[in-house]
Amino acid sequence: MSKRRGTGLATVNYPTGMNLGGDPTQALIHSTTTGNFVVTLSSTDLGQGLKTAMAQIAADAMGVPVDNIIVDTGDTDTGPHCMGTFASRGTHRAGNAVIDAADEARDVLMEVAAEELEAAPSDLEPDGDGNIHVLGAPDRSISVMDAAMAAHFEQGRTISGRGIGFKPKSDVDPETGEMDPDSTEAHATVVTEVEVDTETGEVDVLTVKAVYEIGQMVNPALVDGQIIGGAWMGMAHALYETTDPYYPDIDHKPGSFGEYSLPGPSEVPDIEYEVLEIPSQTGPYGVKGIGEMSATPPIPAIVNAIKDAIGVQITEIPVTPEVVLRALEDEKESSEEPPVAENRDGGDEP
Amino acid sequence: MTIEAYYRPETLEEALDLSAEYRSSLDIISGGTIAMPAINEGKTFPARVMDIRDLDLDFVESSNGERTLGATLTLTGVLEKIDEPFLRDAARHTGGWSIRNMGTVGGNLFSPPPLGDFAVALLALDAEIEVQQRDEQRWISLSEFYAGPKSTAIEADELVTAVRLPPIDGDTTYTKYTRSQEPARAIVTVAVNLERQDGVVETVRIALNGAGPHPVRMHEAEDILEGERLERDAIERAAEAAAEGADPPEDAIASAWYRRKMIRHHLSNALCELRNQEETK
Amino acid sequence: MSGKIVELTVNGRTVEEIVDPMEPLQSVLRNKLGNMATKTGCKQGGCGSCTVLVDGEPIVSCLLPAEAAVGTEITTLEGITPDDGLAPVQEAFRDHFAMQCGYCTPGMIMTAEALLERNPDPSRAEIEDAISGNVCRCTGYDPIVDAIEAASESMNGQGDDGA
Ligand SMILES: Cc1cc2nc3c(=O)[nH]c(=O)nc-3n(C[C@H](O)[C@H](O)[C@H](O)COP(=O)(O)OP(=O)(O)OC[C@H]3O[C@@H](n4cnc5c(N)ncnc54)[C@H](O)[C@@H]3O)c2cc1C
Repeated sequence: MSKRRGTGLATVNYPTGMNLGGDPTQALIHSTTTGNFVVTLSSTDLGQGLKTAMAQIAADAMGVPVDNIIVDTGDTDTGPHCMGTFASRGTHRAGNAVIDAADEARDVLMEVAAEELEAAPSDLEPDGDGNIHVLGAPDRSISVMDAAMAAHFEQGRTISGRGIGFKPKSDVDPETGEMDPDSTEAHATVVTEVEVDTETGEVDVLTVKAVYEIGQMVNPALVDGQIIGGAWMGMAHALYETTDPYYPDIDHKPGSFGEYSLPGPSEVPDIEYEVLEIPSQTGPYGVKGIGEMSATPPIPAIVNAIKDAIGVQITEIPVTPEVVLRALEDEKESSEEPPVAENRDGGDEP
Repeated sequence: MTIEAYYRPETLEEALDLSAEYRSSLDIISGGTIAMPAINEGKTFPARVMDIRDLDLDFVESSNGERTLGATLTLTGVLEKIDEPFLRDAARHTGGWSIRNMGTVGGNLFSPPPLGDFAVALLALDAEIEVQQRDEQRWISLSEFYAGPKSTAIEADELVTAVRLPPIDGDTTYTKYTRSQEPARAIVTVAVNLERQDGVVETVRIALNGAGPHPVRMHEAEDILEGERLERDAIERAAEAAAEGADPPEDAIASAWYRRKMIRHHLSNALCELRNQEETK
Repeated sequence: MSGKIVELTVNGRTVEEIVDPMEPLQSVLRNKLGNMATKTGCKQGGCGSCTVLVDGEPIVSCLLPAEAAVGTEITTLEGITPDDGLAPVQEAFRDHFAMQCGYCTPGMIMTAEALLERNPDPSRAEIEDAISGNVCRCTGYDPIVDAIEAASESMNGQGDDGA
């Protein structure tokens, strides 16, 4: 059995958000009678943890406990507009929208509390634990819940806010071709080590080591989930997954999960990573996106590692064992071919 | 179209009566792990289905080294009731945990290529199949049972009720090679039972999965080995003959080209493993 | 086509339900009995998201006709969840962020329950083997294996069930 090891590297410069015809996400926020705040969004949480991140951002911006935030992403027909959770834009765009909405709602909350406490709104500060205090007068405070009750039943006001995270459309400069296509860019470098069995063509990913530069992390555990899950997904794309195994021939599409290859739990490589938090100019707290980019750079890193291992550059994915064996055979054949007569015109090239 | 009737007979007589009455308009389900996906997908629309799980055919009997396995014995049942390593290996490599809890020995004989990872071991052991019909009972060899692509040597009114295995002599080896962690379809599964006398191969049965329309014996490769010592040259020639003689299925997991390569590679490895293993008398 | 009334024992309770011939247990559990944890996945036994226990054994409920489950004890995720709080495996999944979209989670937890019942102190390799029929698309599996390992430790009284 002949096994060869190789190391490969890939770096990525990954856009957060898109240009589109303008790229908006809106948020609405309002209080219930009991002092909970409902953040309404059409941005969908499909497992990445957007609702958690939005609750954290709303709590921070409102100055209330995170437990008092309810994120409702129920219905894209009736909710405030969002272009969608794609382009790694969710936390960035929706986060800006939530902060914008929370700022407005917080101003109302302070006005309501000010009236109850007979103080100026600018002298008030929420403590993040559910109370609003008069600066410099520790005994003068009101709970957020009492303020909400007062707004609803005594002052006859809604505590609410509207917000938008918006990137205006950027047109291409016809002279220079210049434009502003995204909202910020995150970066990463991924290094993988692989072992290639040159008899079966099988590739085993041994390690994935990565550095991600993604701005401020709102929630490190969610970032960890994206990176670990993304490394696995990247490996799956690089080596296993395809709906057209013999493309452009469309025969033998997988008909079931049993025929659709995915790496299993014992095939997950050792993954190690570091995060660099270099804040963006445009994101909430300096956030950048980490969603999609966690799954993309492992792919070229793995393909490059295969090249390092066997000396052949493969230009298609997934790199199935079959692809590796064919590549090795082609390489062998071409190296056995008699050398083509070069420099026919008596060239003096090196 | 929907299923009109789902029968759950409790005796073999009842089951055979139903088979006699409805013949090919009656589908059979044992563990259901092949039949149900096809129904759920709308690939088959049976009018009547007979479930044979309640027929008490999940037994294992042994006498004088001979083993008889009931047709509805699950693969988990094999692992619980049988301690023979070769059979356990084969059961262990057939589906994942939940599939083994449902899928049966009988059903595995009917699985489409490249499935049949238990059956391939049975073929290497020269198993016999008990086939019953209302008025008749017979035993046929598993080789005869596999009549060709998508066809078996049993009639529409017949049921497979048991598998009988002769005592296992000599050495065995089982390898299932897959694209990803199991449960996964085989690229190739190699099952070999080999008897030697002072290093010379007396009899050998090589059964492969992923090498034809059902588990197949590689007679040419066997002929090359018989009367020879398990040495590099004989092994390479046998592996080459198997690869050439195979007619591998082509699917999303592997092309016929790749399967052929892996037949050669993994059969050769399996035989080398046997060579390095001390001869069992 | 004629429906038939069958008696099923689900999470210790005996219930009667009308089922169609060959209707999968998965469909009865989810669509008729409201056990929403039992997901509708691939319906081919290949994804594991409908895994439930029948007499303590994990099976894919999409491949078992409901009628064939008569006389057995069926356990779904609802059945292992205490009235208030979570079972140790569930807690470990939460604490280790062992889910993202959550689609595989109930099936994964049922398989983990069955594993820990048989093998209270599994190695990582044994955990990886046990869950290999349950597909997860999001987590990359590591957090799931971590969670099951931690659940086993906490159930054996070795503390650390936290992240
Ligand atoms: C996710 C998944 C993974 C799998 N992995 C593997 C694998 O790795 N290897 C493998 O070999 N298989 C695999 N299988 C296929 C299947 O599980 C096994 O082949 C199993 O042994 C089939 O048995 P069964 O009892 O479930 O078959 P059933 O579905 O009950 O039967 C299939 C057909 O066989 C016929 N039949 C069954 N029993 C009899 C009988 N006694 N008499 C007459 N006719 C009968 C009927 O026509 C029936 O329709 C997998 C299936 C799934 C869903």
